[in-house]
Amino acid sequence: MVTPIPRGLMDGLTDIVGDRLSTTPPDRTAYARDLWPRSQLDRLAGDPPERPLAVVWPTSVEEVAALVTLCARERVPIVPFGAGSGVCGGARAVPGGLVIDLKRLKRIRRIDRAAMVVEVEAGFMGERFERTLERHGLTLGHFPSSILCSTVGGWVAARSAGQCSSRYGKIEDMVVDLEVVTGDGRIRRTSQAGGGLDWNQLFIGSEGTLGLITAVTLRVHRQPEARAFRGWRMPTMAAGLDVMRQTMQAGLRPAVMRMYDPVDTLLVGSKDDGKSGGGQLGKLKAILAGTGQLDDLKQAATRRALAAPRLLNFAIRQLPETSLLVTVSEGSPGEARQTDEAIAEYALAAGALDLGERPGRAWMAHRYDVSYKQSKLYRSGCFVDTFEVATTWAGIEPLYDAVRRAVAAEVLVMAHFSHVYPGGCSIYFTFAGTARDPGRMRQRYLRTWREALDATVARGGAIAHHHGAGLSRRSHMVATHGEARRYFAALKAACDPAGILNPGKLFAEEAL
Amino acid sequence: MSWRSARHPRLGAAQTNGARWWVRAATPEALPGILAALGDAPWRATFGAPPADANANANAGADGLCLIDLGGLDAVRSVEPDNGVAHVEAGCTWSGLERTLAGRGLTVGPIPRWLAGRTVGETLSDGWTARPSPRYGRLRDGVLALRTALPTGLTGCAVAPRRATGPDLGRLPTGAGHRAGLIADAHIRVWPQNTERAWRRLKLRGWNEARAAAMAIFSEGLRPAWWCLRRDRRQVALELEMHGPRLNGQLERLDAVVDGLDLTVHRDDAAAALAAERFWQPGGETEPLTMSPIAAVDGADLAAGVKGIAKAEVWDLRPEGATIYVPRAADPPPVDDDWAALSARVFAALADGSRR
Ligand SMILES: Cc1cc2nc3c(=O)[nH]c(=O)nc-3n(C[C@H](O)[C@H](O)[C@H](O)COP(=O)(O)OP(=O)(O)OC[C@H]3O[C@@H](n4cnc5c(N)ncnc54)[C@H](O)[C@@H]3O)c2cc1C
Repeated sequence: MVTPIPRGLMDGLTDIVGDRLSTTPPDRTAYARDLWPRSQLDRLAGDPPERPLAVVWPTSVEEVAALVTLCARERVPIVPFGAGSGVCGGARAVPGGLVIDLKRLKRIRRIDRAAMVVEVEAGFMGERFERTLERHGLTLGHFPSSILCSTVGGWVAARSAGQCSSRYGKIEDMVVDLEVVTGDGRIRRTSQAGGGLDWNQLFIGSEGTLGLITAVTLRVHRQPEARAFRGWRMPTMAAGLDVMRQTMQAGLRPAVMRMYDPVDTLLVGSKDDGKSGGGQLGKLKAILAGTGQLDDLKQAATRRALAAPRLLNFAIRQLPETSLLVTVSEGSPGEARQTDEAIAEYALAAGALDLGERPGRAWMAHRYDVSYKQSKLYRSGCFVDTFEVATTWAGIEPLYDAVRRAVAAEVLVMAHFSHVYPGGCSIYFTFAGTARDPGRMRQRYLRTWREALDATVARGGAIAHHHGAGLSRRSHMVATHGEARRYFAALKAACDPAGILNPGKLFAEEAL
Repeated sequence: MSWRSARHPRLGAAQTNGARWWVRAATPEALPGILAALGDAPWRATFGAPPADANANANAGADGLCLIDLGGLDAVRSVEPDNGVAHVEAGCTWSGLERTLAGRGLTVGPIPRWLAGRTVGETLSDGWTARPSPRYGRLRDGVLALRTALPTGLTGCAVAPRRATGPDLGRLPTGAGHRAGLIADAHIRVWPQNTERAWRRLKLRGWNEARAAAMAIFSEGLRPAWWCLRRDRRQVALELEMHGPRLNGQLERLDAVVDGLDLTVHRDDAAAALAAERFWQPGGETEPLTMSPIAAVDGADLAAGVKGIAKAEVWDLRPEGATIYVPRAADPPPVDDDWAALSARVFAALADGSRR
């Protein structure tokens, strides 16, 4: 069945994009949501997300501007859509709204080797972008695990982080210029602003609420000539965190420093290979990542185990404290070697055991082994999600403990520490749980999130490091930003006077 | 006319010179109350007592402007060496902060002399805080959290190295000239002090050759504490300073790059002298040389960017562009009209929202 869409709107849309428009149920269903696990739980509970009115595929910034102008006039909400890999509900449809899929804005407009910048349209897919740069001997240095299923515009809109952020920075560190269509339908370029406000940092992370990003100019780098891989068995997590801190505060720039907590260390691999653990534990890890097979027996066993999270978490706490630290240093041969040697010095002084190259190489080989489909665990009556936060070095262990304690009664929880900076790092929690039926499962899932967010706010941590806020963290945005929420309200009023851009995302409208 | 105590109709105890009011904030926490009491009355931030005769000309009339003096808010509230963070009030000068940090073996990195006597709040609010350091970054990028006073309260967010909780709202006051509230205090990135230092000075044929040399060094993964390009007779000098730890390894790599360049002169003592002249030194309180950013260069053609600018110095060289400074006071480049109008709408909406 085709939705009734107001005639005037339909005509206006067709004038702009011709037949690059759909109101068919399959398209509207496909574009009703992103990969926020909550949407899957809603569906299982018989409560699927609302579908948009229509989906359009513009091919130029002028078409995007015309669509925004039309929607502002007709007061039709817009949800910008990259590749829909977001895990926070940022691209979830808004009732009565139009989804603007930006993937057909897919040109590289300019590669300037002298200035080491590349201007690319927002809908360019991540992995294809990196492959194109590679052909020119360049790299952006941005490798999110979702690189195969996310767009450059989505990265910028959600303040994404790649696996090599310690060397190249997060996406907000890479942006030189943005082309944005604001809610009044104007095409703007941040590089033309001159002095005054730092507009790049205001549009980056705005998740479609202040403007549609149509093109991005990004800093690029020469492909690294050399890499040095290493794995370390740290006697304690605290010792590993200290090695990470010392490395970054010495001004070194390793590409990857990633430490697994004791339980994740066990799952990652008893063979210290940085990825596929041996035996049953390795298989559990694969299942949690959505890549492992789940036969009926395993399904039942996993459900049984997850039904007693408190016991499971208690057992985990009795594990030895050792943690696996994986490092990758890159750049010129001299830089890669010197960085690796410096880390070795810090690690050995902290009592670490050198595991050689293997863990680093194994991590590299498997670094995109995550599923882009929803985890198979959902089919067996379980759920799995991730929760990444950030704080200063002194706050890391207290925050880690606080979040684990807060959710221990609800879910199995483990974590790794990555994205290291001179001032702190990110903690990436994975949690999995189950309940008797989908309704209860959703309640448990929501309780887990609320408790994890409460604990993070109470400990003064940042409630998201790179997944964004969308709808999943909206409940805690006021607690996070306090009075600065008024800045968001002011930006929204100025950039989106009709209030049509991804309404209700980031902040609930009544909270502003 | 000098300042005397009087009762401001909304603030209570204050100072006046007949035309204007002056009130000194005792703590950052007191600022929202001052702004709320002032309501729609005009105000401006100052750092330090205004001169006795500031706008006291009887003919100027009583414009009622209230000067909110943040000069007293000059404390370094805390220093956390492990986290690499200092919590500092807006009225603290960069040199004041550096002095406190030096006692703890820490630094914010090289502070240009022309910024050393200015306050943290001033420099962040005017936005042109391009501290030219590839290694330590720009000053505004080193702000991990910023608290600003609005009439409704103090803003503030978690002190974290990075976050993904929407736009970087803490950035809004940067470059806003206090129109997004009064900057009250900031958490600023600090680093362990480096005693291992080395300087290099290379002379190249022209601006673009000097830029290319700098980029070769950058591509090697080296990040000088500062670097500068300036004309030297008929050539252009690239001067830089490297910091440890592990300085020897860095210098080996630097020298390997330099060996591959077409250079004429190589005098490191001149670069050390430039550092002493342009950067604030502990204990050194000599008269600052004012340097002003006057233009930005996009792209690699530096020669075109500096053409016709007398005594141009390039102090913020990045692969994608640079900032040109001149040794005199100058206004910063203008803001584009369209963006200025959008910013004005933001400030108007903010004022409106804060009133509600
Ligand atoms: C398996 C998996 C692994 C992941 N790993 C990582 C990781 O390592 N690092 C990381 O940062 N994230 C990761 N993510 C999350 C996700 O991939 C990122 O948030 C990504 O940046 C989203 O890009 P997208 O193109 O899919 O955007 P979408 O999901 O389509 O959109 C994300 C948000 O941005 C808005 N938006 C999208 N494009 C635009 C635009 N052009 N203009 C304005 N607004 C826009 C949307 O409305 C929405 O609010 C992962 C997700 C999955 C499923």
